[in-house]
Amino acid sequence: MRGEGCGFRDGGGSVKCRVDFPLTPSCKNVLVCCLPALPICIPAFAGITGVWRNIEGVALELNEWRFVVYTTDMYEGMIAETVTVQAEDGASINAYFARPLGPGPHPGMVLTHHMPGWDEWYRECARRFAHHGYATISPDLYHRIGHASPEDVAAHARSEGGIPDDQAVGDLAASMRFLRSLPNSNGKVGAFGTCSGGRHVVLAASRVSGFDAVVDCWGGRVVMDDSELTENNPVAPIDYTSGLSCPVLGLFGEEDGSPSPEQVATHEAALKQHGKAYEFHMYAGAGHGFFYYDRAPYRQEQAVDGWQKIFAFLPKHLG
Amino acid sequence: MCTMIAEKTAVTGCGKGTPGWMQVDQVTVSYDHPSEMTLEHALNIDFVDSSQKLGPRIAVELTPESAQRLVELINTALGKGAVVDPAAFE
Repeated sequence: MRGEGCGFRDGGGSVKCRVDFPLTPSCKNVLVCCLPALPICIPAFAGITGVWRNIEGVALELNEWRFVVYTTDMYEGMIAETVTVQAEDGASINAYFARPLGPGPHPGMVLTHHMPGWDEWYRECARRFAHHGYATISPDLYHRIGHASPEDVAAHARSEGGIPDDQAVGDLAASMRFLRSLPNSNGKVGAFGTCSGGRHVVLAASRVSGFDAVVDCWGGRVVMDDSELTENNPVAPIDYTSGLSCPVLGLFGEEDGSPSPEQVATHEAALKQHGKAYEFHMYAGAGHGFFYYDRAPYRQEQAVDGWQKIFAFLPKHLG
Repeated sequence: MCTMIAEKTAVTGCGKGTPGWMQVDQVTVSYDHPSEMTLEHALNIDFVDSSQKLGPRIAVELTPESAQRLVELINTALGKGAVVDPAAFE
């Protein structure tokens, strides 16, 4: 199935165009691609891979993407449920899997929960990414501890000084491979994490190949003093920077204590030194966890902007 | 941030929570994200019966200032207790 849309020039004037890639019933978002001096909008969109042409058949170069509008006449749907993922150590771990309906192809996202656990916020977050077109999996990194309320499981993890880095990296790699194995995968998989999850996704993308983009939201302890190294966290993630295999989007708050603005600058310097692609944003008036609408650190303005940055960043690297 | 600051020790005692009184043989004191308090970090105390993994726990989350006053109060009470009941402190 192919589709047509209408575009417009700055200052008015309609321009019809054609998209040369599959469109699916699950497509719902109108995207605006900013072309050199020619913004166009195309309703119903499955991915940015493929060639876009204008009505005369001229290939258009796409160099920036922005999310725009949902209109009420568009169909949308998703499935969200608990599944299991076979981890690298043989364990079968629970994961929350939310994906758009339709044949795809869909890019994938691995969501990496924060220290407070595999909680409701992360399941909502998974559905948010699915709503935006990503097959999204959120593995329970605390699965091996056992099952109780998320906060009781997290309290146990906290008493143990967190979980081993090797285990977290293995579970994220298994989740990434799960997504890539899906018949409707577009072959691209990113990772998103907040708090300890931000640290974990940086670590995983630095130690395992196969991630195509990483979103690190205020991941603390990427930069670590030797005194902070433990049996669970034997190496600071920043020391793996040379192995980082994909671009990183980092969202941080100026008022955060970890990562402090100085630690973010240290991380940024390491990325520059190793020639890695990254995009860091430091928000004034925000601290740690400014996306968490149910917690005191929530900052509405910064959170809205942060989400916009995420959904502008990911299509560039995941299609 | 997730500080992963957690100190653990064995204790002998009992505590009362939702399920009623329970034996406790371990306490974890952490300075990290609380579950309930609207703070980025709190001094969190979890009393548990370690034989029951993920069993009931007696959990307390305190502001750092409150926790410091608690420490002082415990030491004060223990100091007075040692005067009236010296054998218990040997």
